[in-house]
Amino acid sequence: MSGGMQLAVTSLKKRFGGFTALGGVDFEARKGERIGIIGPNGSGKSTFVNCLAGALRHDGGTIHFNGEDIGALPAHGRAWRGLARTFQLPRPFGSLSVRENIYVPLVNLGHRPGQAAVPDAELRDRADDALAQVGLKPKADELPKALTQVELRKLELAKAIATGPELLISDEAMAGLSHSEVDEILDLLFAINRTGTTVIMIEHIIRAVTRFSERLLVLVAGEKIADGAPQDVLALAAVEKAYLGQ
Amino acid sequence: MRFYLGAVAVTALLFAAFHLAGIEYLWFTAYVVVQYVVLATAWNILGGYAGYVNFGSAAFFAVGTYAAVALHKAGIGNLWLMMLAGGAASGLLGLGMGYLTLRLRGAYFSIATLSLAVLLQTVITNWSYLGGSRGVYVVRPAEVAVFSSFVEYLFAVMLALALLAICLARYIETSRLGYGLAAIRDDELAAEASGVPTLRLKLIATTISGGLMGMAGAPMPYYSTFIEPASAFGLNYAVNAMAMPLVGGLKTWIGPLVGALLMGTAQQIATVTISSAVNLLLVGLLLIGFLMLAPQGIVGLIKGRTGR
Repeated sequence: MSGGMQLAVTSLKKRFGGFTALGGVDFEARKGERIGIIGPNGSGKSTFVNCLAGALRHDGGTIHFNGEDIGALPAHGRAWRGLARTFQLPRPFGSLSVRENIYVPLVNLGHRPGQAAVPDAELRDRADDALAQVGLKPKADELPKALTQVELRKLELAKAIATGPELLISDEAMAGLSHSEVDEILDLLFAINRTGTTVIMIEHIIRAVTRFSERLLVLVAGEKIADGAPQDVLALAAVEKAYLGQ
Repeated sequence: MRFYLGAVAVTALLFAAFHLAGIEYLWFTAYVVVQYVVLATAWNILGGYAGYVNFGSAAFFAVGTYAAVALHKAGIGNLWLMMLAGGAASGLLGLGMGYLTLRLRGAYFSIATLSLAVLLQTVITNWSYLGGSRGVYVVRPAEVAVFSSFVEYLFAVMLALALLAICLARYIETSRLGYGLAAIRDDELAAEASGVPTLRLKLIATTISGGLMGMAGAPMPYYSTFIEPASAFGLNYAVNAMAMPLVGGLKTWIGPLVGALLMGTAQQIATVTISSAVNLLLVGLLLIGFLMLAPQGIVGLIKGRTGR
């Protein structure tokens, strides 16, 4: 499934004032891999995602994507290179219809190196394809405020995958969803991964993470304490201690 | 394409009707209303589409006016050149202001635009070449080809500018730029994540918006023949440019048009029938009324009625 090196992060550091959110995290992802990141609240998972996607500027370390140093690029520059992310709390464009929400990433696809811009005539079809993938096509003309929580998560995913990204970071896309809804989102992420997209999943729901991930990473207090096959990682005493205490 | 041809046709018909009426005062009054159509439309490109509220419209308008004054002083009296200069000066001002202030959001950005207006007014007030605080007289050319009077010519020019502004606004609305600006208005962080180069698009919007305002201000010296800072930077411009789109409806090209036509005409009528000082009171009351009762503006009200 997985191929060559796609994302290489070395010694990533982020501080907020006196608080160290990331204390030097090393991380690698190969093309097509499915990686889960878990950790207790406040362990730096979202900070890690935000630093990777460019929403936050890191204080130290390097981020290479497909061999290119993207550490100094703004968030849109990273999106242009095929790095997509979803937000923990859905952030739809509230005044645009569901379909127009997908237009936003699509009209910027022309900035991707080696990628042609989507012609105006194809915008609608391309957006509807992405919506059909997540099952939102019947709601294409609605405003996001008419969507349910799980539909908003799907819209987040549709926005992220419409451009066929090389890497998708899904930040707690399942928090607060029911058992069957979690399975729906999981199936979606599996389908996205089958098209060759690397998926990094940040999640609290252990059942989902273990089912999905080929590799599991554990962050605790801004440090990576484990990285390996899910069953091995979950069996580690340190992981158990971080989650359950002593 | 149909829209643009239709807009040209409507504009031509409008001009023909006013020409046939043949009343100098009508042209003189209509000029002001049409000028507000341009200002409101220009304001809406940044304020309505991108959600960045500009309190400093008067500064962009006045910079256009004073660029024209400067050109006139230098011996260049061609109205088109004056408008080009005014548009260029205010467009550059928009770009510069955008670069300095667009990292600010919400009220902070708005306050920065307000200070810009105060700053520029102070500069102009102390710039004796441009008349300083005493103001400057600009002599209108005695006659003009084709048109029956210079005022009718000015009216026609402003009408053409309004046509340009509305076509531009309508084009932007459904363009790549328009989707980017709408995304910025709704959620800037999510816009960046979707690949929207937010700063670049905001700079384009401030430049276009400022440039149009400057072009609207450039014929002012010929229109009023006397320009002084207090009225060139008048509160009317800043308040109206903002109030008209709000009353008409943000987010679409038609809102500022409807708002400017209604409020501009109402103000002209109030000026004649009641007093010129009642103008701003009227604007204020309308603005408060709409913000409380119909925050989506007139266009929003109509859309609500028709279910879309």
